[in-house]
Amino acid sequence: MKKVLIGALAFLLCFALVACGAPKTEEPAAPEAPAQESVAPAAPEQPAEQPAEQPAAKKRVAVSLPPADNAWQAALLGKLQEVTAGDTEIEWTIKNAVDNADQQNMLATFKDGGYDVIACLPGDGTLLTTIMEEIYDAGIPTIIIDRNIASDKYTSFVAEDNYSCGAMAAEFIGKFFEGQEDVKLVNLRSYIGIPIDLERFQGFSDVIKNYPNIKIIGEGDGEFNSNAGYQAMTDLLAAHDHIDVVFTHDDESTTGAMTAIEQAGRTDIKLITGMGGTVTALNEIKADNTIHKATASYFPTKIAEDAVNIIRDFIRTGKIDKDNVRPSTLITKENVDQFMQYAYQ
Amino acid sequence: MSNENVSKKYVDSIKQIWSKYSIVFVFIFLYLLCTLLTGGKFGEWKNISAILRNASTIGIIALGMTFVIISGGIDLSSGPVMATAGIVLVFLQGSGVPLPIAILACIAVTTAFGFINGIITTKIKVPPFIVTLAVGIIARSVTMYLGNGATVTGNNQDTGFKAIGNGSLFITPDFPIPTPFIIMLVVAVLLTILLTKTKFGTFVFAVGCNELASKYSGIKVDRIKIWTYIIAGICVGIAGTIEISRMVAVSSTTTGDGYEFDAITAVLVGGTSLAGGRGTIYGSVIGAIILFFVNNMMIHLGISTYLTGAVKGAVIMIAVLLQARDRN
Repeated sequence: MKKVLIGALAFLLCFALVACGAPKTEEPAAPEAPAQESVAPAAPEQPAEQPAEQPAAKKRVAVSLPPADNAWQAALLGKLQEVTAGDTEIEWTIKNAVDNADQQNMLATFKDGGYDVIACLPGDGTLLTTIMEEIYDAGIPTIIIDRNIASDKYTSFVAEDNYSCGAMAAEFIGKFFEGQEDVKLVNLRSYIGIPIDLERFQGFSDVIKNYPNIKIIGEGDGEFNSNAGYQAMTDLLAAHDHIDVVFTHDDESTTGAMTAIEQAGRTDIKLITGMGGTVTALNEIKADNTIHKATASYFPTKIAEDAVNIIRDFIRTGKIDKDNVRPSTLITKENVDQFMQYAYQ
Repeated sequence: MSNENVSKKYVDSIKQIWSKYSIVFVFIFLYLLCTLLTGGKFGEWKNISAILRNASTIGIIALGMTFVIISGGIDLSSGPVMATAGIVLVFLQGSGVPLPIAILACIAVTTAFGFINGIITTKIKVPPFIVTLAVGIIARSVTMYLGNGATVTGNNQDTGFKAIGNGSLFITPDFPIPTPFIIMLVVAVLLTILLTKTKFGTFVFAVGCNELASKYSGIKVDRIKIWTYIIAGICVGIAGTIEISRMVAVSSTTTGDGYEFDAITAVLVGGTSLAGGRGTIYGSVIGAIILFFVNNMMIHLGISTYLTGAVKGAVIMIAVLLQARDRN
């Protein structure tokens, strides 16, 4: 039994070590580490210098992220790692926190870490407002990504426009059912009540009002993932005998919802729209042989790229716009090819 | 016999029936209440069928969890382990490996994790809460590494595989029974026999009631505990097969997230004691279904989703209190 025990322990340790053997990183993927470290391109630490035409020492940028616990966050992290790899001018430190408290601690550490710029995608913008203000007041440029803080004390905000995501989807749905009376719509939101959800829902609500023939008859929570979307849609289908259109806040939820609709054999639903821009969604829109006809872009890959480019420009030139909120684009069959390169999985 | 004695005997019989089947009465009460509140829509078979389908994954995990908890343990690794095995399943299924082999591989992975949980808990004497928590964290981390943080898809054209999670058995055209629910019932029957009709089952209860006394009685306590974790692992593998077959995809970050807590809740709502030594398989089945009543009812009633947690907590509290009164 001792041998079995030792063997099992060895297996467990080997498993953990194999998992730790990711290329390009020297940080182990420890189970209960306070922050999940991602790729930090190897570069010796150097003191920060004022931006110059040809800086002798590398500038240091820290990026604080929430947990990479869904496909969108994982794609953002992957893109950040990709576009910052091998940077000869900037030393990038990219870290994922475990939760909001951990992210707060991480940012406090960054504040005293001698970084030239600190970028943050807050798990909760309101909760992390105070620490971000402290960093800003300490004279360190702060870049907020995707979710804004509840303050004006930041150097730049980089995101796509959640409000326009909802507004464009509503416009598309409105035009799709133009002339049709008594259109029944169900709304599959994601983590109802978080700022992104509220902005998207507000955009949707403000525009759908212009189409009085469309009525919201039910609502569920897709939780930004396909399993929750499936379960919520199953319940909505059972509760409503007739649904014309499904509006979701996330393409992963859309995938789950469509599976539920197919499994239930429901043919009353004529349209489903999503948000994000997953590979599955774009392929479906391109093929145009399902009810999935449109999605509002919210590419994590684009946001990651934009953020890195903006930071690089700022470090080179010292110039930056305070707000870099780019409008979303409604992706349909007509323009889907332009966006395939940004799709995430 | 005097009237008084007859009444007393009658009351004692009712108390006995309540004591044994209180969760069934709670279930019936909640069902009737939900049906009343929704004007009958809740009670329609298509709605009940949807609930049964959604509840089956958690239900099957809860069946295995019942063994673990009765024996005095706990398993916090179920959800992440299901995701790890799921990645293996979609890799193999997507690569053209015959489906039965891919499914067996999935179950083998979860069983191996169960064995590891059992071995470390019993031989190194680390509390199961810590062991299974750590194993779960490792499993999730490995899953994210294997899937690169992305959603991994298999062969979506495999209708046989998809039928596991999405299919139904049609008793009549208007009366489809979801395939996942049938699988859950089969597993429940087998585990009920194992728990109540075999020596092993008796030993599981004994170990949960009093581990030391069981040891002195000659029961191989460690072996019993390891087997409970293995059973839990097998159940996670079956549940994972059903879950993954729905969309033939695994999200390396979210699949199985929190399932272990839902399963534990289902087990406790079903009447199994967290202290060990008491519990039923059918209670866990009913507990799992009750958990899914709430989300479904909220949608029927159009109640703000913000209140789902509050209603769920209240339902759990009612279910547990009604049973607790009897025990006291």
